[in-house]
Amino acid sequence: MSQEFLRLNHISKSFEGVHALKDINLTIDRGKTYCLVGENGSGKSTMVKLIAGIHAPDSGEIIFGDRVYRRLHPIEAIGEGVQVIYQDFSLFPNLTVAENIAINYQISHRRFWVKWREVNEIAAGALKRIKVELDLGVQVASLPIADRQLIAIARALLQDARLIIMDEPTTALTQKEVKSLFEVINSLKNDGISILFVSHKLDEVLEIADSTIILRSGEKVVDREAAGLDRTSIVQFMTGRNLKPEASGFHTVPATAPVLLKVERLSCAGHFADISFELRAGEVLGITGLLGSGRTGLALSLFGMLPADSGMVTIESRPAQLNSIQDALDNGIAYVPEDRLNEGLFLTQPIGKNIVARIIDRLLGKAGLLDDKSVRSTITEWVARLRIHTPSTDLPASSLSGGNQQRVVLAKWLASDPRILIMNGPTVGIDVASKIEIHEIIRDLAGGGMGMLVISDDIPELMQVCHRILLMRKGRIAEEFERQQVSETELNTMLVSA
Amino acid sequence: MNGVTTQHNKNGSMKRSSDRIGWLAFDMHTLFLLVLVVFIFVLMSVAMPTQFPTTINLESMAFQMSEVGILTVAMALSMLIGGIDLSVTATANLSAITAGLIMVNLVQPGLSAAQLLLVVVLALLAAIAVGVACGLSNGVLIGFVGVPAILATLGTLTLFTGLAYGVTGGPALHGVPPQVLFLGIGKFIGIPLPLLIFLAVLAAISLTLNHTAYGFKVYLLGSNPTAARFSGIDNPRITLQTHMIGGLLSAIAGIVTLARTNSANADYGSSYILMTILIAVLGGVAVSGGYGRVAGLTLALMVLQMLSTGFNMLLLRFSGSNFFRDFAWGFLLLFVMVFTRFLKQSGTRALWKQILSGK
Amino acid sequence: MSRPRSSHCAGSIWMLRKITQTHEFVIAVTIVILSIAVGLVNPAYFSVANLFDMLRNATIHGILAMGVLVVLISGGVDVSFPAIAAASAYLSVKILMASHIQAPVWAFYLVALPFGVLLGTLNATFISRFRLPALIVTLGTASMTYGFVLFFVGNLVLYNLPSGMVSYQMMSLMTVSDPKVGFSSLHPSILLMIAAGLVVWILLKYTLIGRGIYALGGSREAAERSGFNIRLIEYVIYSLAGVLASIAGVTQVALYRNANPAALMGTELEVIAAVVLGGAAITGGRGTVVGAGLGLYLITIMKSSLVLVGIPSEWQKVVIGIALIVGASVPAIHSSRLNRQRASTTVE
Repeated sequence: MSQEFLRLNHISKSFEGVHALKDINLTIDRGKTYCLVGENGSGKSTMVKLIAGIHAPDSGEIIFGDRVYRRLHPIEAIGEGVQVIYQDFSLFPNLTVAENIAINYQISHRRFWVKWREVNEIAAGALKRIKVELDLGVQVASLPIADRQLIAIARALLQDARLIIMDEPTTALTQKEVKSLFEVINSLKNDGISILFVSHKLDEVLEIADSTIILRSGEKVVDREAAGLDRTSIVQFMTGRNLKPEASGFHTVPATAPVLLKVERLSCAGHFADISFELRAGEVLGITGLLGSGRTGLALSLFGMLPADSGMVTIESRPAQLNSIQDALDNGIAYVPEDRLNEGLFLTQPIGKNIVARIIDRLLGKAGLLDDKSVRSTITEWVARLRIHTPSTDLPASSLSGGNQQRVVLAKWLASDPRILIMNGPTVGIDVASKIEIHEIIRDLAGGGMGMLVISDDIPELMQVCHRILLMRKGRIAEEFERQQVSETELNTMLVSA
Repeated sequence: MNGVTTQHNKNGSMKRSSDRIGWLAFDMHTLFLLVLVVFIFVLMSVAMPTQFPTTINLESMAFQMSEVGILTVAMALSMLIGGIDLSVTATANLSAITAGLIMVNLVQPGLSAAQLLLVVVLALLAAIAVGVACGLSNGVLIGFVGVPAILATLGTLTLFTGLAYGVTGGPALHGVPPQVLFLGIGKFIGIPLPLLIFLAVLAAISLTLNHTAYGFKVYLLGSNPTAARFSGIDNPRITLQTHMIGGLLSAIAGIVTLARTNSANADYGSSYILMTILIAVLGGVAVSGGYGRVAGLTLALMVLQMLSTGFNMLLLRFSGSNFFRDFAWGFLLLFVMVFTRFLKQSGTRALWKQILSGK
Repeated sequence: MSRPRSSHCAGSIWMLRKITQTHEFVIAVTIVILSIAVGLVNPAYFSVANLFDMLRNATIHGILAMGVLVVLISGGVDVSFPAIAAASAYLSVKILMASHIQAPVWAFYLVALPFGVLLGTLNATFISRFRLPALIVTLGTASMTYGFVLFFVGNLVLYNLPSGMVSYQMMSLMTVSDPKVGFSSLHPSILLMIAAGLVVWILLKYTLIGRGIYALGGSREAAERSGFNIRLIEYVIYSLAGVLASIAGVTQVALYRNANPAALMGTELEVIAAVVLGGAAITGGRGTVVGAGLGLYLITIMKSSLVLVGIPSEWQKVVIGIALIVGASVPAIHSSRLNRQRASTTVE
């Protein structure tokens, strides 16, 4: 019997004309551990979804043994022994720990009756395998993320899995928990089960992986034994050796530029602590950190959605209370959220309505009624200024590409003339060409005197647009750099060596 | 994507195409309903040539559809923000009973014209205040406490009906002064007064929805409450305002009913809830919120009123012909929803494609 | 993060705290307090006869409540069950009377059942197959069902019931005579309510479909990914509600000694109120048989205590409305507070 479990044969996949994966060949052997590494947008998650049968490849084949799939369905993937632990874990918040762990087992064994003793035994056994103690009778809703992750892992182990794919599995785990997870993985390897890690944390990659696969812009650049790789070389492969030339038109912030935003010892229990920084007019300040480093919590706090427990925020030398979104708006703070589709856009509403959503109160004419002429002209103005490509602003926002959608979100906020703009993941899921244009917009806005906070874990992006970069780790600011002080590789290394 | 390929479009051609699409989208739905109105009118007229297309019948339909129409607007508003208001008729009845009680108890034979006017104004204001208060309690429960709209309005429906039963003791209230009955049965330059009131409500709501910042936000909140929140829209406040307007409209409908029927009853019009939802859905209001036009509502209302009257006339010789309407409304509601769901899945995407390709 | 796990410091105190934190406990305490208060005003409250009366009054709502409970746990809602109850019972009586057989009472139940299943399946088809909102669908089917029976089948209340039905109405498991309340008997239909409660309890607690109903209410997406047959579960839910409604419908005919095609109209509010008061969430995922039973009992006491305190029965609906609003608001406030707390424990 061959050692091969799964083979991807010349797989390509593109979304709306953008290549997510280009001609990928890949073999996964039984009982081996793989690490899939790559920057945001390199095609990692597309690859996982192809193997799990969620996306169909445009061309190429997925081969399990002698079974060749051109289109793999999720149920077929499960039948082949593919188990994916998603980042949201797919747990039932209203059920107990024991039941969440055992429920898939019961479904796949076509049980009719639920024997609670069996449920508890199964769950206890599964938790024992990963050497974790959890109260089996507690509702999952009351547990922190780390515990929920363990439950998801325990549940996947119960299935007759031959390949377990874990999407960023260690992000929320402590050293001890990671260690016991790795022990489990090693014992699974001995049972002939393959593991595919999708991870950002390079130290762990090096510790656990037999083999490392590195993707860059949809292409496989490395697929070899992990032994020969070190952190620096992985980062180099991830980002590409030929770094892009310096962006043109990068202006310097004059020393006399006024301080727009001053944050002093800002803390919010469970999210971030002791954050202090200044943002000057015309400056682009980057904030980076891994998932769970507190970067989004900080952004939400400055936007009034997550009021801080202590500390001070000063805006244009006046102390500001940011206890609600309205407070943030009154202080001229705008926020472009990370989850564009759910938080940023009214997908089913016309593009034009999206653009004026924020400033509709200012477009009133006679008798407090909307002034259609100024609504129209505002829409036309912003479509032109941000070069939003659409045949009509009456089409729903869902008809736009990712890049154009982000411009609509930007237009919505820029129309309100904010003094401080917070952008969370400004180019997540956006094609390269639009990405460059959005970076240009960010630089232009800063050039016009706006204070910009750019939150991103896309290091090249930060190097493209930021004057300064703050690195967050465990809710605190760990490092602060001027852009010139640090290279992309160094920053990448620091980001992942948490 | 379509968006990227047409980037060379100049502003001029962009504007033209946008006008065309806006006009088309409007036309498609309205046209369908318009055809339906004409079709049913012709059908009923052919079936009952001596009864249906008569001035008397048209007038009586105009009287009847006004109160349902006003309630439908209240229901549609709550659906626009992604919820529902099951308490519209209960609110209307409670308001009508409030006005009725005040008038019945304060109007005495010896009253002067001025005193009578004062009592009537007081009664109407009290009814409206009750309606707005009902809407306020719905709005607070849904917008601020966070109770799902179904449950909140189910609770207030029971509460308002209970209050109405409590204050009347059960039986219907009679004895409204004739000067007030004019509101329900009178005519102004030949047009039934209730119809005028309904048209005024339509105009006001149309203006509010299409030409005020509040109306603009109603649509945004209905289509994506999360994005609305992130855009700085005060969702609880819009929800509260919407339900207060709904309460106001319900009160107006209650007053019209009181004046038309000269009675107020705790469980009057219990079948209206289904009917208003049906009219709203048929009129193009999305059950999930964010969509709906006053024009669609009006045409759908006409469709239902003609069907209702037509059924009554056709089935008069059978006992319990009104039960056939209950059956038909339920059936129609399910049919229309399945139909629009089907259209949404297969139709609109093809429609957009067609429009974009310029054909 | 490593914090002490409570699993091994078990013990009676911990168990006790767990029980006292449940919704059912709070309702039970409320019932006890209210009972004592009512009993002080009117000692007859604590008589067996009164208990029998209350059980008899609660039987039909109790059976209906079990169906509503299952629907609410799944995250749906059903307002068509009174229509299904009335329609299937009326059709059953009509059919058996037309057949001129001296049918025993179980035959009435047997004939009514398929109608309950059919109408429940109709609901499920619109809700599951076409993914339409449950409230509006069941409003529609309710109107359709009442309308259909009243127009096409008959709109007369049948008082002259077949002998099987009449003798069933007279049956009694136990009779007590109380000097204050008079004769009071325990009707065997109480067994049907108990059976309905047991079946639903077993279904929810000990079958995978039952757990699937909770799972569906907790997270539809996760339930799909787990491999639950969601279509099947939804058909089971709404058909079960239909079956229970048809049983309640026939029981209603027997207890009230008439078959009314418009029976039970409007009772959906009281039954839903009871189930929600008993801790079931309309957003799904939460609810128990015991809770629903206690909720129903609480509403029954509240209504009867109103009369004892001297408030006219016209105000009963006010009490039900307030109970429903309070029952819905408390979890809403609680969950928004919990969300805020949880947000602070999710990261690091």
